[in-house]
Amino acid sequence: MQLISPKKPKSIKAALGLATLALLGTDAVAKSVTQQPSTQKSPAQKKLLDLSAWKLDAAVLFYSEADRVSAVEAVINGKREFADDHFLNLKLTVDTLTGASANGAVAQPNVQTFTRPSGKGSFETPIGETPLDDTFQDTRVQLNGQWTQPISDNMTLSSGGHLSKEYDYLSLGINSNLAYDFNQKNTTASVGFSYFNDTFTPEGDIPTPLTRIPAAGIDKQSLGTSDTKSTVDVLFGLTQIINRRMITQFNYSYSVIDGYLNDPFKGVSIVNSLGLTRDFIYESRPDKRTKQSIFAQTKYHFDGSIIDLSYRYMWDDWKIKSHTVDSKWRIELNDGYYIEPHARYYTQTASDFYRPFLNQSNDVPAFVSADYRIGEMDTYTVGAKVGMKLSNGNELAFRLEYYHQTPKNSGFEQVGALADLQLYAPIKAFVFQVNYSF
Amino acid sequence: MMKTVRRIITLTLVVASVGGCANLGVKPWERDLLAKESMALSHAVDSALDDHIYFSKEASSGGKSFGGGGCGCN
Amino acid sequence: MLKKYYVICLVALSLLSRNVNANTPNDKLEALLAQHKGRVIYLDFWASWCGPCRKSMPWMNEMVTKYKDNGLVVLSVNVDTQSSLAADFLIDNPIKFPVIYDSAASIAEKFQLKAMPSSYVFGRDGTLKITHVGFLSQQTSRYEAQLVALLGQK
Repeated sequence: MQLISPKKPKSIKAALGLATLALLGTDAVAKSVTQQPSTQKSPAQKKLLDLSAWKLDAAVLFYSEADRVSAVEAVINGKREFADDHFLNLKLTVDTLTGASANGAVAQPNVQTFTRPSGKGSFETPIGETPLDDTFQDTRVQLNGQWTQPISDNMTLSSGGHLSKEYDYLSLGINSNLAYDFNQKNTTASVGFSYFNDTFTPEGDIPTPLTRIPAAGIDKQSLGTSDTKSTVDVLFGLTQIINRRMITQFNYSYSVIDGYLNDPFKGVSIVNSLGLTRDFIYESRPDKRTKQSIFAQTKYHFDGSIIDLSYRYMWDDWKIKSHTVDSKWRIELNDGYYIEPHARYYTQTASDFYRPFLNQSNDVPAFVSADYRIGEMDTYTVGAKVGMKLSNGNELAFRLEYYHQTPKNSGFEQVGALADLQLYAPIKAFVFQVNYSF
Repeated sequence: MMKTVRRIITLTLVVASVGGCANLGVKPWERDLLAKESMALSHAVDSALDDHIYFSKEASSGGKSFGGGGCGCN
Repeated sequence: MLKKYYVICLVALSLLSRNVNANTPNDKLEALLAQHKGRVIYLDFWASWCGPCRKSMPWMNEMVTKYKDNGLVVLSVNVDTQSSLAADFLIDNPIKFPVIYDSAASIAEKFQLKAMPSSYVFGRDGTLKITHVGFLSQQTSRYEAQLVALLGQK
């Protein structure tokens, strides 16, 4: 648990507080919000709506891929201590996605026409380009609540819930984590568990896997209007303080995802020996995925800077293996400013049912997907965050990052006309974020 | 399969050797640097935003946790 | 020859350091404990980076106001490595009792603190009566009752 610095009510918080209270009409609490707090808290000040007792973190993130997806995500996180070491954390996230996303079809030496996933209308892809469906537009709202408290001298329990809703997707989840401190709180062993249940109701219904994606206006073969999936996650963690400047963490996690794992908007092209598309069918993934990962992190506090290094290795029964190396170096500057350069490297192998396209001469396998996100790829992220402490004690920070994704050919011969085409175009994205803590 | 087993054993040994070192660590009054917010293992807001991007664009997710460190008070 | 020189240096150094160490934090504490003999002494260890310490300050101030005429004395030891951080803390959290600055944590080491904050309560007879590990604002009435009981004793 980090030290939470106390906040005197700032004008923005007082204004927010009054605005909220005006809506609810609670006069008694309104008075306490505008006063400077004495060190002794009056009963009114202990009420939930006393914003000066909350530590708030807000951020807005802009994500933009060249020619593809753009997203804006806004989040506000509030943390408040009730009794000694009893904390409530509430978070609200809203994000909206627009732009074009690959539909799984392979590029061709001619113009292609595809049906929109909804079944209404179609779109065209120019010669030689990766087919991208640009009807993708969605807004999502997410709520998280987490309660943490000690349950004995050395044990802390944290439990919470998650709710996330977008036009065609609902996700409900619960989690619980137990942490045990020993060696004078130098070592912490923890075990965490989470369960998520998601319901997908895609526009145009759930397509029958491996069936032809029909032309616009023609009904697809369908399995129904909606489907579900459940995710169970177990995480074992060990945190160890090495010395006054250094802390390390090791985690092992195991998760099982069960249910509808297909992307109903994606298909796989079937090409002939000349590399020309003869058919386009809905993808098919197994209805279960078991993932495991090991994670190690270390943070070291030098005299004027902090370095954060982490490594994660993930493997699953879809035969995907990945390595993630992440590093951050926070350098403290004068007057409460800091700069934090960041570099991340990620690499993954393709799942055993990933195919960029299928050959007409072969049988269609039981499981196949052309989603490059489960194909072989390398990615790297470089960026920096600049933060400052304002005169009113609040914090402002800006983050700019560049994310580069290089999908790779994991050994599929580009037959016929495909040999002259770029099937693994890199994806380049910029991330810009503003943070405000108060 | 064997590779997995070997990996888990290696990790367990590393973890056990670290956890078993009762002389590793600091005295309760030496936690000034560790108590800083900048020494927390993950950021309140940034970690979730990043995880969301990478979850949408890559095949791996999660694996990170939250406990331990800090001022160790009470 | 070199060995003799070395021994002389060592002796000189130890004599010198004894003079320099005449006013160590521990010496200051011993002096205060001796000065307040016969009173109930509440000795608190705190640091600027310790959250519960911040909550304990107003309560200790309250105890001083309420019971100093009854013979309660509150003394504190600050273990910040940088005393300037402690000074900043005291600007936001003013206190009504003295502070001994123990940046090398020699007194903390001597008392073998189990966690931050820690407090040690000495009875009127000068012996250690109660040890508090941590500070829980829910327990202040119990803490106060303990002090009242000790103040009542000879």
